[in-house]
This record gives sequence, C-alpha cells and structure tokens, in this order.
Amino acid sequence: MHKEVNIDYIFWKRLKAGETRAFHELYTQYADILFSFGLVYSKDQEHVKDCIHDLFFELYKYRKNLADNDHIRNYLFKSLKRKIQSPKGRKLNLVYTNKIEEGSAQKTNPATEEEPEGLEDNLEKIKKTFRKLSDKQKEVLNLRFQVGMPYPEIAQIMDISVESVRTLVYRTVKAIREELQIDKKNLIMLYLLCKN
Amino acid sequence: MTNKNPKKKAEDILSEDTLIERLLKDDLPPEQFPEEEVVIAREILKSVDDDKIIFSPEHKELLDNRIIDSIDRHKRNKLFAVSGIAAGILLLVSLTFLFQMKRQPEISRFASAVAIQPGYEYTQLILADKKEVQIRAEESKIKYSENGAEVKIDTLKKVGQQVETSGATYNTLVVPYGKRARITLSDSSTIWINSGSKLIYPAKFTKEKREVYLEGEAMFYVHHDEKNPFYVLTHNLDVKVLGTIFNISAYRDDQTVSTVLEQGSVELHYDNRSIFGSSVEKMVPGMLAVYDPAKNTLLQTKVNTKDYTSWKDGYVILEKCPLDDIIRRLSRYYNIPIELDDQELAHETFSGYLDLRNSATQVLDTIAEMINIEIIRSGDQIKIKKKQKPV
Repeated sequence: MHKEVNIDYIFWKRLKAGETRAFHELYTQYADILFSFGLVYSKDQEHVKDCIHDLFFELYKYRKNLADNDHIRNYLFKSLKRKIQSPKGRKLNLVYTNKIEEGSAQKTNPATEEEPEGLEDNLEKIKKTFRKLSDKQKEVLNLRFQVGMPYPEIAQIMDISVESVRTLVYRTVKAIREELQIDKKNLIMLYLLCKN
Repeated sequence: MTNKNPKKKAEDILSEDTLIERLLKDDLPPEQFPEEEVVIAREILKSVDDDKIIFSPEHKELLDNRIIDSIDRHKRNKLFAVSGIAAGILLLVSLTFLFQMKRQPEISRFASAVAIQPGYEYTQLILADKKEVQIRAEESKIKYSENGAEVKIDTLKKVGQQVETSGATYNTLVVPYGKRARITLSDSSTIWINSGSKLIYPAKFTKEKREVYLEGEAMFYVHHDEKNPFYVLTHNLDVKVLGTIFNISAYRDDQTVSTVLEQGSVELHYDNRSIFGSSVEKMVPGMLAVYDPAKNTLLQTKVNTKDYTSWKDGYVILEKCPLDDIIRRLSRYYNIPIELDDQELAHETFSGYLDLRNSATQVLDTIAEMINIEIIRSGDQIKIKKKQKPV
C-alpha cells in the first residue's frame, strides 16, 4: 500500500529535479575521494579537476536520462574514469606520481625526519619497482591503498571479478617483494635497522 | 629466522583486509609473520600513501563554485529561451504564493471554533452534522472509506455521514488523557494519536491540498501522493509532507513543538516576524526539529527516531530524560496526576525502556529502581519523593 522511500531515492529525485543545492551537496560529499581517485588515472591535477567539473555539469545537463536505479557512487567513479581516460582529454597517464622527484614536502615532513637513512633507501627502491609495474597493477594498488576502496568497488571500476582483484593485489605485492629481496644484504640491513 | 613452518609473506598480509588492520595495529605475531615481511608490507603501504595528494580546501571550494556557476548559467540561458511563458508562470506562482501566506487556512479557523473539553472520559468522534460518537476502548481504531461517508470503528461499529460535494466536511477526533487512537483517513494515510490530543481533518480530502490540524501528539504515516501534498497544521508550526513517516508533538502545555522524521522528507513552515512573513526549513530522516515559538527558533538535532515514535507500540525508550518531562508524559498517557514533591528532582535524568502496557505505578517503580525516588500512592494521586538515605 505504501511505497518504500529511501534517502538515496529522495536525493536522486532532487538531482533529477535539477536542484542546484543537491548538486552542491553531492560534490561536497564526493570531492575528496573523486580527486584522489582521478589522480590514479592522471597525475595532472588540473586535468582531473576539469574532468570533475564536466562530470557534475553533465550529470546536471543530462539528469533526465538517468535511470532511477542508477547507483550514484558507482556512476560517479565510472564516468570520471571514462572522462579522464577519454582520447579527447589529455594523454593517458598512469605514471606513479613521485613527490620526491618533484621536490616537495618529503624532507620537511617531521614524521620522516627521524627515520634512519636505510628506510628511505628502501622507500626509494619500492618506488623504482613501482615504475616497472603494469598499468593494471598500478591501478589496483592505488585504488586499494591510496584511495582506500574496498574490493567489490574496485572490481566494478576495473570490470573484473572481486576474486581477480584480490589475486591482482596479491601478485603485485609479491612482485614488489621479490624485487626487493633480490638485494638480500640491503634487506638484512633494513631489518636490523628497524629492530632498533 | 630459523623456523621452518610456513610463514606469511607481505602479499598475504596486503591482500587480506583483516591482516592489514592488524598490521596497522601492530598485532601480527612474529611466529607467523616474519618481521622482514611485516616491514616490507608496511613500507609498500607507506610509499603508496606517501604519493597521495590532498585536495586542498581552497581548491575544493573553487571547483565547487565553478560547477555551481556552470549549472546556474545553464539554467539562466534555458530560462531566457522560454522567457515568455516562464514570466507568466512565475507571476502566477508568486501571486498564489502570497495569497496562501496571508490567508488563515479554513481548517485552522474551524479548529479554533472546536473547543476541546478536558473532562472527556472517552475518545470522541465528532462527525459532520455535530453527531458525536463515543469510543470506549483504550486504543481505538477508526477507518474512513474512500469517499469519507462511512466510518468503521474498532471493526464492529459502522457509522455513516453526509459528505458535502462542494467544500470540505470537517470531522474531529478528540483523544483524552489515558487513551490512544489510530485513524486511517480517506486517502489511506494512517495516524496514531497519543493521549490528550485533537485531530481535525476533512472526511474526504477534496482540494489538491491535504490538510489536517493537530493539537497534541501524533505519529503520521502519510500516503505518498506528490500532486497533493499533505499538510499538518499546529497552532504555530505547519509541516508540509510528501510520503513520509514522522511524529509531531504539539501540546499546548509544552513550550515547544517538536517533529521527528523517520522516513521521507518534510518541510517546516513557521511564523517569522521578519518582513518575509514565514520561514521554511527542510528536514531529513533521523532528525528532531524543536520549534520554540517564544524565541522563534528552530533547532535540528540527530536522534534515534524510535525514542520518539515507540509510544504507538506501547513502550518508550528514554535517554537521559529529565524526570519532570517523563512525569508529564506519563500523567498524560495514564491520565493520573503525578506530583513531584521536591523540585530538585525535576532535573534528575533517567535512561531506559518503559513498558506502557504496565500500570502507571509499575512504570514508576521501574524508574525508582534506577534513581533515588520513592513512589507514594494516595487515592488517585501519585507523589514522588526523594528517597531518604539510610544513615
């Protein structure tokens, strides 16, 4: 007799009605995670911002075409990825961003100042290893550990099964570890340093 | 390092959510997780996280403005394209809007004409031709037919009435202290009415607007009908509703009017002494809005809605509720005068679950077990005293 009404549904209706405030609320809720998500696919911050702008503006312009059962969160991530990777946009860039190369905060960060030299060497080594990874491997690591997304969400974004995501994470970490352990001596030194 | 048991490696740790959690808490036993593997896992996490670029608040706001700007500009352009029609509609809308603000709703005028007699012993249903029906049940159920002409009371009794075709035929339900009622209106919206309350409503909703008037407390389960919004008017706060479940408490002897929204969305319209005449505020589910007419303030806070709506199921959950508040509610519900002997007790608070199917004394005993009070019964009166501490 009574229709079930949930918050998402009502919010969706406000979006469909074109209420500016609803778009502002949606942006406020997702800005941080979309920005960090966008940077997984391009290290050009301005390009990511442009794409986020277009994402929301087009969501407004074409709101009437949206199906009622569209999942907002899922929609935002998938469309932003598509936009950033679109050939019309700037070049696809999956290179791992490296703050040290850009000469930024790394050295002034008080937390890292007290760390022994050996650790930084190891971090450097990990970063070098990252550059050898495939695009998919970089994508999965960043989505999982930088954006902090759960497996099922990553699976939807990458269009693979949850199990494949887990396997991909496993294999990627394994590859990095093996690369690191080639230099056993370095590792033992690191191990000893960490014990102190 | 010499242990030959199978040991977990960095990839085992980082592909398992629970292990990552334990890694961050430093909770991985070294027998199973060699320190070197733990170090590598931690380093990988750290280097991925190190590269994270934070969206600065200033840039975030700039981008927000840019998006809103684009949307607004697009809206304006569209508006100009149909300016001829739009102006007409706008004018019409603002005229009717002003008109609606100024006029006192008919139902409110009707409400002020129906005096509530506090001496009522039974629930009273007052029909169109001033025909009064007494309902003796503690908790009565009333159901209107779709055309409003037939009223079913407690599944046994049926009464009929003449419903005018032009204009509304108002009916009134008066629920005295100690009684409750559940009413289903002609649009199939259901309302639980708490003790000491009065509800006025048309036997059949005619106009495009569904309006009811409430004094006291009621829980609404409004039937969804976007074209015909549902309004609950009280003496100083109007609530506009779409399909929704919510509770309103608007007793004349309470200083404030409070609304709790369980599901759906409502708008609160209240008097505002500014030039704009009245203010509107939206509510989202899970919120409690308290309107104080004396200060003309409306405060919204997040609450557990069950605490406010559970009375309809015969129990209440209280969380740090002041004793004087509890006593006012209980004395309404049971229609028994309860007196606080010591005003100091008024601010004592009680948290817990009270089963309203028990008698008033039983309920008060439950409270007495938790806080230092003594219940004294003399005839119809209940007095609450501070417990004398044994020396």
